[in-house]
Amino acid sequence: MSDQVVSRADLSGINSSLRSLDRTLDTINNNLHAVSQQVAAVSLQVNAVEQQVELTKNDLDKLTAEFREFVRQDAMMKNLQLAETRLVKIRQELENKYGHYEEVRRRAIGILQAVDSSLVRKETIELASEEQLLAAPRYWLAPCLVALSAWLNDNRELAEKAVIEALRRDDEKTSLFFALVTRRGGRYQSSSAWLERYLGQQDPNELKREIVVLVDGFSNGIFGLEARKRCGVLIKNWLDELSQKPGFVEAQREQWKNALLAKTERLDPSKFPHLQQYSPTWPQLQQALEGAHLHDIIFQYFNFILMQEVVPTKDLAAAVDQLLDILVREFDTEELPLRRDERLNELIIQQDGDKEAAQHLFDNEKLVEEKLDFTQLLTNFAMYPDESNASVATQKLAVALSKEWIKDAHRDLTAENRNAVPLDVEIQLDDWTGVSRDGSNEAELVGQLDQHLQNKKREALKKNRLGFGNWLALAAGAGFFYFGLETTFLLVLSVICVLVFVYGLFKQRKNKKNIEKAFAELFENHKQILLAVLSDIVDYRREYEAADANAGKIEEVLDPVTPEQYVYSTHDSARTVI
Amino acid sequence: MINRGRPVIHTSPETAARMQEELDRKIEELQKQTTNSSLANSFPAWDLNPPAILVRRRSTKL
Repeated sequence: MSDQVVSRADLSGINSSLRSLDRTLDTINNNLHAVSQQVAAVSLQVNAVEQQVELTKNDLDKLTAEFREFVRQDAMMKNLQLAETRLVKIRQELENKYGHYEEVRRRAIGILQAVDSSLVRKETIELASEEQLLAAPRYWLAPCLVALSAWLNDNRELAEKAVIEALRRDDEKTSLFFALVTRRGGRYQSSSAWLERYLGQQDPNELKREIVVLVDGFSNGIFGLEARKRCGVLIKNWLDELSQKPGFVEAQREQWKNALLAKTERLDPSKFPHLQQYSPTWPQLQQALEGAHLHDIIFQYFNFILMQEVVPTKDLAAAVDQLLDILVREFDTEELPLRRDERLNELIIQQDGDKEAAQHLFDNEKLVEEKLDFTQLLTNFAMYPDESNASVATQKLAVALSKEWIKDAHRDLTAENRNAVPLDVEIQLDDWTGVSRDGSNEAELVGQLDQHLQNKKREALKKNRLGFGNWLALAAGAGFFYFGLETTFLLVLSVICVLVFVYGLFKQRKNKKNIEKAFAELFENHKQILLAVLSDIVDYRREYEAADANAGKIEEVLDPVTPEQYVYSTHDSARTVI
Repeated sequence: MINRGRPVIHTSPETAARMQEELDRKIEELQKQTTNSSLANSFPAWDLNPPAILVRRRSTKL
């Protein structure tokens, strides 16, 4: 043991230091607490600021939207003010330049009404007309009125002079004016001459919409029997002229092909159910048959048009009469730029300064003024009579004039359709595929199907053999029997193994019977389906042949039709289309 | 719209002539109905026809 004495350590300094450290820690803790409180306060402040920022952002968004709306409104307001100012200026300009035209138009309407009702003396009408001539030195309508009033006053010399002047100013409008006035007055010979003159000035590439009413009018005899004949021949000449354009005939064929194809009707979905279900060729077969049925549809359509009786109605006469009103009220070509500006500004005012909306409306209105192509008109008359407001007579005329193109287009369609008919029809029953042309190779296909199923059956039977386990059980059984002659346990095991083998053998035999039975049923079932599909093929081929035979009927119905017959029935044996 | 039951009929010359006469009669009847008699009675006996001068085509793309 050691004699050394360890004196007691003086830990007061350490204690003091620890206490001091403790105090310092307390202070730090307090400070941290204070910092934490301050951070919490700052966090609250940050949240408050964030909320304020969000509010400010919302306000700013709102302000931006309001500002944009204000700018838009302001722009619209300016557009509106500008349009109003412009409108005043345009109208002033119109008044200064063409105010007398408006006056002539108003007088013209008045004079026509006065003449219609015989309420004003002819001398007054003549005087009023002559005054208009002085006021509108370039306007076509003024000399027209002079000519009309001179004619009514039996002043032939003045009437003819005024007509020459009116024709010099605007031949087209003057011709139409007199065609309509003379028709209204029952002077059909004169009306026919004027209408012929008017139509003779038309460009068949760019026809005005009024031509629809005029064609409908003369084809129904509204302009008299003479006009029916003469104008029919005249527009036939348009087509002869158009036909000389390169690519024109091809374009017509295509146009008519599309129009004829549009008449295609869907095949009855209940027809050929087995072909639909078991033939991958069905879509082509269906399309070809629908195309073949189209022959009869087209034939019936044209036959119906050509067999209908033409019954001229008062409505047609009223529509033709209305053209006179439109013509007299129509602005002159000279005025048109200003009139268009006037209309656009009117629309801007109507749309409260929204220029975009006004321009859209203006463009739509302009569409109505678009010119029409004569051949497109004929197609529309013949194929879409409801949409094009074509009467029976006009449909007949359109068919007569377009006959060659219709026949060409139909020949193209027929050839395309015949080429598209599948020669061989594929039949698919599960994984067996067979081909038949006309359904006559029934025995061959049944044999193929049988062979296919026999092969499949053989494969299935091949797979139905005893497994390795069964053979192992047999081997084990034999082994256990050999070694277990003196051991009961091994003998029992041997019996069990043999039983396992026998069970396997029994199961294999049972499966074999099931497989054979299933394949026999499958064959019978597939054979029935195959026979049904072949029957459908026979029916399909018969139906196609019958439908395709109608192709010749189109030419039969169209061949005898001529525009000459349309306008004037002949006494030959050809079809009449009156 | 389509009357599938109606056959193609090749009109005989006599029927065609009769149909033409019928149509002419209908047109003449309509002419009477739609003519403004007041205007028709105001016209003198002579017709105001266009001069027989060559008409100029408005425009052409050919």
